[in-house]
Amino acid sequence: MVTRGLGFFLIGAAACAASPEPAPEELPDRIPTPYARPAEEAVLEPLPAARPVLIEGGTIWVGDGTRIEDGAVLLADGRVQAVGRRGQVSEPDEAFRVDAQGRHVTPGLVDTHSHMGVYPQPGVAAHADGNEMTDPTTPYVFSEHAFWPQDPAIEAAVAGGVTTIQVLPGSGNVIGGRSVTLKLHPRRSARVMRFPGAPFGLKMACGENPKRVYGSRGQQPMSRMGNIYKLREAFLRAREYRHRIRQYSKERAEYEEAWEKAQADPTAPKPKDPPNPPKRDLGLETLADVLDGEIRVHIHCYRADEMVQMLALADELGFEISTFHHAVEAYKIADVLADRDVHAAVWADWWGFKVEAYDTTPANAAILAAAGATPNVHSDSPIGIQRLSHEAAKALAAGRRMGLDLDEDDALRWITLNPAKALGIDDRVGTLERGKMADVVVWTGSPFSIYSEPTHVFVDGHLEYERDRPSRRWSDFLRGTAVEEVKP
Amino acid sequence: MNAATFLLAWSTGAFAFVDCEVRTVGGPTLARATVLVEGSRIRRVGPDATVPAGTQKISCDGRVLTPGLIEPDTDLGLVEIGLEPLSNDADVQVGDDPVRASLRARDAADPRSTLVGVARRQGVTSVVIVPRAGLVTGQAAWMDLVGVRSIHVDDAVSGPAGLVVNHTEDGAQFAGMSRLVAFAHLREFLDDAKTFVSNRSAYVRRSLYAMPWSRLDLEAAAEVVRRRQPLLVRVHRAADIVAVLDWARSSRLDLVLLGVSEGWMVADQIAEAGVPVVVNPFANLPFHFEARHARSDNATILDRAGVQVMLSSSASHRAGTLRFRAGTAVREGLDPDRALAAITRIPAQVFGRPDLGVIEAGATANLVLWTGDPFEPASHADVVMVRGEMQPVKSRQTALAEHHMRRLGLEDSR
Repeated sequence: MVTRGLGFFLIGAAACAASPEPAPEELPDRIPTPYARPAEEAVLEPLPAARPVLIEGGTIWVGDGTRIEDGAVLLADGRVQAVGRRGQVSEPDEAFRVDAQGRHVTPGLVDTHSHMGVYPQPGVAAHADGNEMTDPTTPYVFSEHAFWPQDPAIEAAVAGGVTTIQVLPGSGNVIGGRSVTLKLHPRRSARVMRFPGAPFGLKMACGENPKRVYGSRGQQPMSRMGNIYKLREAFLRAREYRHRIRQYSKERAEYEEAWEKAQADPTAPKPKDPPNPPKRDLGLETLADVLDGEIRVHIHCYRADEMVQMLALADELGFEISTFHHAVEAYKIADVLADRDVHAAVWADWWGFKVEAYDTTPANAAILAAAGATPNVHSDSPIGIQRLSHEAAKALAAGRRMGLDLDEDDALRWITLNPAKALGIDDRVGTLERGKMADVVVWTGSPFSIYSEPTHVFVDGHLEYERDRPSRRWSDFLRGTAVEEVKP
Repeated sequence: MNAATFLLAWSTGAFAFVDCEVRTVGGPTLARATVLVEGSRIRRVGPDATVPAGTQKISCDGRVLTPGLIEPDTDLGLVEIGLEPLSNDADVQVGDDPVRASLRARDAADPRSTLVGVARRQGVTSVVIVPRAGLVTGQAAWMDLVGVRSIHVDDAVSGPAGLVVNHTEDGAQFAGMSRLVAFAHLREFLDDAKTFVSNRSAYVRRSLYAMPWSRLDLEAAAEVVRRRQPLLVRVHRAADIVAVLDWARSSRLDLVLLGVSEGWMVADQIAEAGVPVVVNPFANLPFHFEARHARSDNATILDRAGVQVMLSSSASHRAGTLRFRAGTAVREGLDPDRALAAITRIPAQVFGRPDLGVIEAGATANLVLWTGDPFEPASHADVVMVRGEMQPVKSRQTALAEHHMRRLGLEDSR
C-alpha cells in the first residue's frame, strides 16, 4: 500500500510540473496508519469453543475481598457466566463438572513480569533472546517476536495457577522494547497467545543494568546521568516525530477535503499535491504511542529516588507510568505512588544481588497496600512464577508481622486484580465476576498454604491444566524424554 | 513470647521452654514438653522436666519447637552484594584456573553480614558455606548464625567442612568446556594428592615429578584422600552422577552430592553407595541440558530409595526460604518428619556436627519456637536461640520497614 501510494504521488508530481491537471480520480493512498498498531492484527488461529464448565462446592475467592462458602462458578463461551452459592447457579446438563468440595477456587493469577519464552529453558546462549543490547534505546523491538512457546517453564507456571503474563524484554537498555500480554494456552506462537485487545507495554529501565552494559563498553550511558539523558533524547525525538505525524495528518485532511470539493464541483480550486508522508520510524512510532497513552510504560526501577526521577521525567516529556517493576524501595515512597496512582510490582524477598536491591523489606507489598498504593507481586522468574501465591503469602505474613492490618484477600489482590490493573486488563480478568474471561483455578486448599496446589486451571474456559493428568505435556522439549516416560 | 522475654535477648544462662510441641527430630515428637537449656547445651527434654529455680521460663503455649534449621549449600557469609566483586568473595576472579582447592570459605566468611539476620529471622541457625567458582572450588565452612553482639560472633565460623568440586556445565567452563577435560583434571588432581600423601618428604625435597597444583591445593586434597574430609561434588546429570559415584568408589573417597537434578533417575545407585545428597526442591526445570530431567519430586524419590536427603535453598540472600522449600518437598510427597530432618539432623550429621539438628539432652541449644507449622508462610520464628543464647529475631530489613512505616505514619495495629 505504501509503495502504491508513493508511486501515485510521484506520477502526480511529475504531471503537475508539466501543466496543471484535474484532481486525480482516485484518492491517493495514505500510509496505512500514522503508527503501526500491531495489537489490531487479526488473531490467526481462534480458540475452539469449549464445553461449559460447572465448578461446584468449595470456597470461592471472588477477588474483590469477598468469599463464598459452598459456592459454584459456571463458565461458558470463554466467560464467567455466574458466581454464587451452590444451587443459585444454573447447572447446564452438558457442563463439565468439577467437584470442588473442600477446595478453593480463585481467579487465574496474573504475573506482570515474566521472561518466559524470551529467556526460556534450558538457559543456553542460543535461547537468550530478551535483550537487544546493541543500542541503549531499542523501542522498535517486540518481545513477542522472540517468544518461544515451547519453553517448558510455561506449563509449570500454569500448574501454579498463572493464566496471564506480561512478557517483557530485559533491562539491559534504558528502553528495551515492547512487551506483550499473553494468555497461557498451549499454542504455536505468541501471535495466537496474545491477550485480545490488551495494550502493549514499553519496557524501560533505570539504574545499574543499562549503565553497566554500555558503560563497560565505554559507551553511553555509563552513569545514571547518562540513563536519563538517553531517555530524554529519545522522547524529545518522539515528540518531534509525533508533531510531524500530526502535521501530516492535518495537511492530509486538508488535501482530502479539497479533493472531495474538486470531485463534487469542477469549478472549485484544484487541490494541491497530496502532502508527503513522513518516513516511518519504527522506534519513534512506539514512543509516540506511549506519548498518546496507547502503550503502557513499565519501568524496571529499584531505588526510591530513581522512581521519583522517572515520575518527574514522565511529567517533563508527557507520558504516564503504569508500573515500577522490581520496586524494591517502593515502600519508601508508598505515599507518592498512592498519590500518583502508579503501580509497584515487587518480590516478596529477593534482594542484595546488586546494590540497588539492597534496601528491601519483605513487608514492601504490605506497606504499599496499607498506604493506599497498588502493589502486585511479580516473579521475573520461571521458578517464582510457579508459586506466586506463596510469594504473596510471604509478603502478607511479613506485613502482618510488622503490625499491618491486612488479610489474605489483600494478598490475593496482589496476584490477580492489581496486576490486571497494571496491565490495563482489569475489566476482563482479575476477579470472578460475570462477563469476565473464564480464567479460574481450583486449589487443593487455601492458595496461600505451602501445601496447596492447583488441581484444575481454566484459561478462557479451556481446561489447560489438570493435576491428575500430568502427562499432558505442552512443551516439545520434554516430549519423548525420560522425565515423562519413567514412572518412579 | 511476650515483651518481657525480648528483654532476655543476649542473655545466656538457664532457660526453660515449657509447654512446647517438641520436634526432637532424633526421636518422637513430644506434646506439652519442657526443654531445659543450661549454658550452650540442652540439659533435659521431656514432659516431666523440672524447672530449677532461677531459670528463665519461656512458654511455648503449645506451639512448635524445632532444632535450628541448617542450610547445607549456600554462599551466605561470602557475599554481601552479588554484583559488587569487592563485596563478593564467592565470585573468585582468578582466570580460568580449574583447581582452587586451597581456597577456604572460613578465611573470608563474615558472621556480621546483613544476610545473617535475614536468614536467622526465618529460623536458619547454621549454614554450610560452599565455594562455587571453578572446577575444584575450595573448602566449605560451617557458620552459626549468631547476632553481631553475641559472645560467639568471632567463633561462629569453623571448617573446613569438605572439599568442593563443581562437576557441572558451569564447572566445565573452567575445563575446556568439556566433561572429558573436567574429569581428567579431577582424576589427576586426586591421584597426585595420593602420591603427595604417601611421598610428602620426596615432595618437599622436590624429587617427585612436577605437579600442576600448588602445595596448599594438595594439602586440601590430602584431607579428602585420608578421608578426614568429604568431597562435596555438585553434579546434575544422571550419567555424571554415576561417573562420580564410580570414581569415588574406586578412589575410596567419602562423597556428598549437591544439586543432583537428575538424581531420581539413579536413586538406587546413590542409595547403594550410601552417599548423602543435597537437593533444592524448587529446581524442577531443565535449566541446562544437564538438568533436562529435573522434576519436582526428586527429593521424594531419592528418599524412598533410601538416600539420605538434605534440602537446600542454594541461595545466599534468600537462604531463609529453606523452610518453604521443605514445605514444597512435603507437597511433592516427602514425609514431613523427613523434610524437617533434611534441614536439621541429616546435614548436622553429614557435616560432622552430631551435636546439632536434634533436641535431646546434651545437644547444642540451637532452637526455634514457631508460631505455627514451620513450613507455612503464615508462620514465623518467634524465638531463636543459638548455642544457648537468645538471638534477635530482627534484621536490617525489619529496621528499614519500621523506620519507613513511622515516616509514612503507618500504625502498628497489634
